[in-house]
Parts: sequence; structure tokens; C-alpha cells
Amino acid sequence: MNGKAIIETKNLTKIYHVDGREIRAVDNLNLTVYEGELFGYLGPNGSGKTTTILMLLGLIQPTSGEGKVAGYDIIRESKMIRRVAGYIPERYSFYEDLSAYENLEYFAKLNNIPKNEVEERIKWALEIVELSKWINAPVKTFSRGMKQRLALANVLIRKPKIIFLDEPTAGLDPHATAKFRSLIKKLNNEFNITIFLSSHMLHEVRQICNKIGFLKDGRLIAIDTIDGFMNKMGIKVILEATNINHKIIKSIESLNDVNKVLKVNDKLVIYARNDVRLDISKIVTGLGEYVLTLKIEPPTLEEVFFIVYGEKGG
Amino acid sequence: MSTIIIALKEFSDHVTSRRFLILFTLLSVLSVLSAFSSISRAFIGEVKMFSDILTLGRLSIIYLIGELGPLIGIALGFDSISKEIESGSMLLLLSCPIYRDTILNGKILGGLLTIILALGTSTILLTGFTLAQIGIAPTSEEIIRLILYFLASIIYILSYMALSMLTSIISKRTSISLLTSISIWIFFTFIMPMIASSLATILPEEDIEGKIRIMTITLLLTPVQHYYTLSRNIISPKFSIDPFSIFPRRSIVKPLTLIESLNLTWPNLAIITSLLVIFVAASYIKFLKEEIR
Ligand SMILES: Nc1ncnc2c1ncn2[C@@H]1O[C@H](COP(=O)(O)OP(=O)(O)OP(=O)(O)O)[C@@H](O)[C@H]1O
Ligand SMILES: [Mg+2]
Repeated sequence: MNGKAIIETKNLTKIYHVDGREIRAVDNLNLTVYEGELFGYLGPNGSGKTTTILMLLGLIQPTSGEGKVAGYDIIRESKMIRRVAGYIPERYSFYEDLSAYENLEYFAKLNNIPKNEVEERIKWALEIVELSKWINAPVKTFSRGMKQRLALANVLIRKPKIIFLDEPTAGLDPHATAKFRSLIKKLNNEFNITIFLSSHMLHEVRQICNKIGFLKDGRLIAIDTIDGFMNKMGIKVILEATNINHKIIKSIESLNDVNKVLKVNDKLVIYARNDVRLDISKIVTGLGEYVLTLKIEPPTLEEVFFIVYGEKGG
Repeated sequence: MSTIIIALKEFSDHVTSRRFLILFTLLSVLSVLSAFSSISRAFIGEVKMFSDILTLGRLSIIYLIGELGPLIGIALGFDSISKEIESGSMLLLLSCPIYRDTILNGKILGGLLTIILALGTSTILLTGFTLAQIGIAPTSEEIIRLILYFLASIIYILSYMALSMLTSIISKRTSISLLTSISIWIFFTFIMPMIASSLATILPEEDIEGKIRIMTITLLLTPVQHYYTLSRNIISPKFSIDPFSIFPRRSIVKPLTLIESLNLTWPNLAIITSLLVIFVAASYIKFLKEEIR
């Protein structure tokens, strides 16, 4: 899906100084996200996800480097970016005493929505996020899941090209999470809104996104489509034998095509670039044991990250 | 345009808040009391002109606004920024296509409207009540003086609002902001005058000049002193107070013209206005580069 780039950064860097120590919250980030993508920005706590988003929206100043969102410079034209980009922060709050409608109306006005369109757009957006029934209810009566959908309506009203979601399902119950995720996909699908979703949960990103950037200590250490990641990893072979001894493991590990060998209970899990079943079977019999099972399984994305990046998602 | 949208929301938040209603009621009640006190003065013949009503006695509106006005300003400002940062609505506000100064402008404008409402009500109550009782109507010059006094009072209260807004921005914590602002108000309005008189008592009995000098220097460090002086000078043609003297002397010779009074007023007004400008400017500088997440 190599269309037009909607996010482009060049050596984007944010450095904090804490007690004389330098923290590179975002470190020379070179990132491109294309229009229409469901981009997952994956990284553990403190890896710099929020910092990246805030810089892209012009809400904090980068230390160095540059970036563009929707063609606008993040330093000089950030106001224009906020006109076409929606943002759902990690932690935020509406005005709790005001109703859903009053909240959306206030923000719609601040988004220069023409007066005669405000009501219509609010109703349209609330319909999409299935909150029409609660249009006049004060936000303080909303559940966390409803507030999150209200936040989505709030950004929909400005008809955005891109929505930044920072850990959007943190604190939602499974039902609300599922509902929210399908809503995000729907927005991407029906309105072709680019989604930039940050998360520390691999399984979340995998469910929603078609492309993943993996962030660690402020650095983008991998970026690819999900298929791309899976191909890099190759295949997974499961071996059960009469006795899996040290010698067998050593020999398998020394095979050219093998990336990694793990002993799980009394099974051996072998990650390899090619089908190495024949070699394995030879090794096992050659060392005087018998093969009980030898089968290929597709690796999970979790395994890909665990093996390739030494990180475990979820 | 965005400034006005924010200002109107601020205004409606203020006037519907319990905090404001309490202060508003207090100010109104005190204004009526102030009117009654001037009415009783009228019976003993002290009040001859309309402007006397406003400047005579411990319950005059000058003291009322001088001492209580800052509290209104603080009530409008101390949580204006920190509350939205603490709750998280600030992030939603910031994610709109507006600049940060718009947010401050809106909040200041909203506060200004609220001050005008509060002060306007109390002035109308006060003048209405006294007028009805003693029937001394203000001359057209007195009306102009009253309007100018009204504007100066707004600046005075606004400067305290800007101060508390600044503490709100710096501390990012509502409770700390409130404590800081209230402490500053109490210190400069009530403690400093006490310090002034105790410093004076330290000096030997006969050193009257020294006593006066030390009191003057101390009191001139307080905004409220400048407010008192400018208020008397602007409201009443009978006052001719040196802007940097602390004694509210009356002009014995003849009433001052409006121009003469204004000439006496501007130094004090300039000082209070510069406080306002400093607090507002500091708020902008701090808020514009503040990282909010
Ligand atoms: N204002 C600040 N001052 C100093 N360091 C900061 C500041 N803000 C963020 N950091 C540091 O920058 C790094 C990146 O933080 P950031 O919030 O972007 O991470 P994140 O990926 O969003 O993490 P999380 O999953 O916890 O939300 C962290 O090490 C954090 O401690
Ligand atoms: Mg974060």
C-alpha cells in the first residue's frame, strides 16, 4: 500500500534532561506512514510513543530533526496539522458536568466547524460511535468505554485525515475493547482515515493494524507489514523425540537455516528460515534416538518479536 | 473567534460556580452594608457630596474592594489552568487547531467579564441604595470619576486574577496554586500593614520622621496601598494625596478638577497596571512553553 505519505519524520529527536542525565525519549526517528494505513506504533512503557505523537501534533517541541503530517511542518504549521488530525490522548477528560452534546459543541466550535453544520455533524458522529441515545446525558455518567467512543466522535466531527490514538484500550473491559477496535477499523475502512495507534500490546496491534513499527528506547528498531514480519521469521518446527539431549540441541543449533532453538517442556521448538525437518530427523536418528513428532507450525507474531527483538508483547 | 468561544465558556463556568456565588453574595451584602454606613454618616452631616459616600469610613467601597477584591480575582484564577491540566481536558483543548495564547486570552477575557459583572452589581447596589436613602445625586463629573474608579478597580482585581493564574500555571496543582495566591494576598493586604506599624514602634518615640519614612516604604510595597490612594484621588475632588504618601489628606484649599485628580492618579495606576502586565506576560511565557501531557 505505497500511496502518499501522511507522516514523514527525519531524525526526529526529543531529549530530556533529568538530574543532569540525558534521556533520549525519541532518538533519531525516521518514520513514514502512508495514507489509509492502520499503523501500529508498538513499544514498551517509556519507549517514547506518547512523546512521538505529541511532537507530530506540534504539542511539544522536538530537540532536533523534522517532520511533516499531511504535508504540514510539525514545527511551523502545527495548527494546520491539528485541523486535519484527531488526537485521543492516553489520559484526558471531557468537561464532566456538561452533556455529550455540549462537550462536542464546544470543541466543534473551536475547530471552526461552520455554525449551521455543528448540530448535524455531532448527531452524525454520535450515531457512528453508537452514543446517540446519550446525547444529552452528562459525561460524568459515562463509562470509560463510552467516554472513549465519545472521544472518537469528538475527533470525527472535524472529518480528520488521520487519527492518533494513544493506548486507546487501556482500562477498557474486553467487551468495550472489542467494540472500540472494530470501530477504529470501520473508520479506516469506510472513511479511509489513517490510523496511528500506539500500544504496548502486541496482540492489540496485531488485531487492528496492517503495519507495525516497533519502538525501543526511543528508537524505531523495525517497521514492516505483519506479513513482512512473519516472512522474516520463516517457520517454526516442533520436535518430540525419545530423549532430547544436549548433543541433539547443539547439533540442531549449528544448522545453517536455524535461527533459534528453545526447549519447552519435553519438546523442542525450532525457528528456522527453511523447512529443516529432514536435517533434524537425521540428527536425531544419528544420535541414536527416535523422532516421535516432527511438524511445522506458523509462528505467532509474539514469537517473532520475542525471537528477533528480545521483547515480549502483551 | 476562538478566544470568544473560550471566554464565554469560562464566564458561564464562573457565574454558575458555587465559589463565585458565595463571593458575589458576600460582596453584594457588604455593598449594601456600606450604603447603610454612609447613610448614617449623612445624618451626622459628614456626607455632602455623592463621592463622600464612597470614600468615607471603614466600610467604604474602597476598603471593600481593596481588601476583598483580590479574593475575587484569586477565585477566578487559581485553578483556571491547573484544573484543566489535572483533569485532562487541557489536552483536548490543546489538540484543537488553536494556539496556546488563545486559551489564555479566552480565560482572561472570561474572568474580566465576570469581574465586570460582580463589580458592576456591587456598584449599582451601593449607589442605588444610598441614592434612594439620602437623595444626593452624583454630578456628571462625579459619574465620570466613578467610571474611572470602576475601571481602575477592574485592573486591580484583574492583576490578582493574573497572579493566581500564574501560580496555577507554575504549580500545575490547584491546591498549591490556591495556597500560594491566598498567602500572597493576605501577606500584602493584611500582614504588611502590620509589619509597617511594628517597624515604626521600634524607632525611638521622638523620631517621627523616621517612623513615617519606614511606614511609607513598607506600605508602598503593597498593591492595596496604591489602590487606596488612587481610589480616593480619582473618586473625590476633595482628596489631593501625593501618590507616594500614605496619608489620605484632604485638599483644604479647593476641590480639584478632574484633570488635576487624574494627574495624581496615574502613578499609582501605572504601578498596579504594571503588576497586571508582568503577571500576564509571565503567564504567557510560562504557559506557551509548558509541556502538558
Ligand atoms: N517531561 C519529561 N521530562 C523528563 N522525561 C520525560 C518527560 N516526558 C517523558 N519523559 C521520558 O521520556 C521517555 C518516553 O516517554 P513516553 O511517555 O513518550 O513513553 P511511552 O512510550 O508513551 O510510555 P507509556 O507506555 O508509559 O505511555 C520516558 O523515559 C519518560 O520517562
Ligand atoms: Mg505513553
